[in-house]
Amino acid sequence: MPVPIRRRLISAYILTPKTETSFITYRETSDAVHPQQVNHTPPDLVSHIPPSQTDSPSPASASSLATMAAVKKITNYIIARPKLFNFIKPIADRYCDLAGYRKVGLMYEDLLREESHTVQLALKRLPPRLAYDRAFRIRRALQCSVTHTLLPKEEWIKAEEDVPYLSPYIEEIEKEETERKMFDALTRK
Amino acid sequence: MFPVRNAVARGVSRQWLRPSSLSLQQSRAFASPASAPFTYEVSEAAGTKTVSKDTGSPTSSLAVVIKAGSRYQPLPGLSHALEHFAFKSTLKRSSLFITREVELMGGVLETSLSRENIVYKARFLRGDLPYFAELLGDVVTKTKLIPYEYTERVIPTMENEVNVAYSNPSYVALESAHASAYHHGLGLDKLSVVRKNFGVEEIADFAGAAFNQSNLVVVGSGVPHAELNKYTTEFFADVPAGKALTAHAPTYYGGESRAWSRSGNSVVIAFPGSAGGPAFKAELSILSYILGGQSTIKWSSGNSLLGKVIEKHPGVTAVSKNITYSDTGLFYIAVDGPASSLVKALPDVVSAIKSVSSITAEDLKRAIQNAKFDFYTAAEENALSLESIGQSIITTGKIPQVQESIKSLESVTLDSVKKAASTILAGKAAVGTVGDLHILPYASDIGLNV
Repeated sequence: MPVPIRRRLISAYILTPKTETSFITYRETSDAVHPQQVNHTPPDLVSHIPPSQTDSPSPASASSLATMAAVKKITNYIIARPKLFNFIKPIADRYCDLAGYRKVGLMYEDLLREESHTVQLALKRLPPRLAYDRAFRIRRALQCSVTHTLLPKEEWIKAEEDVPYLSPYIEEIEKEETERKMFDALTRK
Repeated sequence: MFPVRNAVARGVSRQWLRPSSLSLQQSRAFASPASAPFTYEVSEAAGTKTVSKDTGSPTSSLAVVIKAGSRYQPLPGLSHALEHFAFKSTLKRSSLFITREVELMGGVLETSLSRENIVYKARFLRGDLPYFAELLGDVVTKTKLIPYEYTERVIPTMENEVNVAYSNPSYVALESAHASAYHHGLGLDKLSVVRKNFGVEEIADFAGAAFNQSNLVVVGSGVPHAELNKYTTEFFADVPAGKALTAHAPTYYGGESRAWSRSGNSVVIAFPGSAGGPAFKAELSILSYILGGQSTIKWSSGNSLLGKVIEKHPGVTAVSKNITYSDTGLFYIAVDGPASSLVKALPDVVSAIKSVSSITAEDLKRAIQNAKFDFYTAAEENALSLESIGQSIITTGKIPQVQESIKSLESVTLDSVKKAASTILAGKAAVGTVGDLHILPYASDIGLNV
């Protein structure tokens, strides 16, 4: 039986671009609430990590790579090989811990280089709720930096909260760019 | 258009006669005898209504007519937004993909919005029916309605359309006349002037309520009916059964609304008019041709009643028309020009309506001929008439009876036209005045009841 059109349209709206953090289901129109008053429900599993291995998702570790797609490719390559994954994962976890960004209340994707057309556009496309949270985290981190302090331990971003909230949008834009280039270079046979 | 039809038609027919200009596949289509011009075939393909006629022409048009125009929208501007979401990203392809692919196939994609319907239309070469049927099915059932597409693509184009329309005083005057005439439903602005209280979710809700088998019909022209049914069954299978949308029943109020404008002056004088379909009142349609105003000949203001009026007032144009809706109609005269000339021209326009009482049989005959010509042209035009056919199918389940309407046009008598003119003048007018309000007169000043 076909899904009723209305439900399909709405689900398409909610699921696009494909990201499965709990944030994305907030309505566009909902008022921004101060993050400290929000109960962060544990986010759903990140799509590309198999359920057995998601206790501490390692963030994409190469922001200097050309595209988000390339990062995802490498991640998938590692995840597909359990031995490699088990070897890399402790190192990655240790890296994130040492990097210390979670201790000032940042998520990994707050650190992505935003001086590019793609990321700027992705930031514009963030739902208001996510954009608000991001701005809040960055301000809080800046304050920590100014005062040379870390946040109290209970406010640190936990590993499971450190979800890719921006990369789905970046991937979507990269896909559009690729498609545009493909059509621009199209020749008629 | 100008009277050069014969020359154009001759050129076209000659070109088509040359065998080299036709591919083999197309010439086979030509060999089949062209069916009579107004014979439409109506059927249902898996619950979705389909209508088509096949004239054997080398290009085809396919339209999805959806009864979701501005009179059915729950929030102001929703229909306009939904119309502009046409051909945006779907679950199968992106909007860029649609555009580029259609460019490659040499097709044209169009959408239009009226107070009654949203129309998604494609015009293409005859052989491409499967692709375009699939595309339209995709657009109707699988558009993603992405929030950022709404803000990045839909809102700017909507805003642009609104700005263009509302900088035109004639458009604003007709909208205000609608508002005075109907208040609700048909009276509300067609375009999204105020875009409040809705986002993509509300658009999705409205699409969910509107895009169902009771509100939607697939209309084809230059399309073999069996093929249309086949592809509609295949690609419109996801259109659910559902309830028809209902609108505010139109009540004619009448009245006056005035608005300042710096970009020009326009006055629309409207009266209750003739509805389309079975409630068609031919005498009002004929009355609009007797009043006329729009010359069919170049460099002349014509011999109609309004034509004679505007001859005396340089720079002024006055055109009378009858807009038909599914259950009502609006008969109006739009008068444009410099404010100082309008002051003098408007009383003459009103006295022109009064002078209908002294028209001759020849005037009537000329009006009937003009009406018939326009009626046939509209019905013949492949892409133009798709909406009216679709609307007729949705509201009455039948295709418009062209010959019957022509017969009723022919049977209009002098008495019935005179009676129609005196009736509308005795009733309340709905007047929209836009421009320099310091100069432009009130409706009561020019001898109208409001």
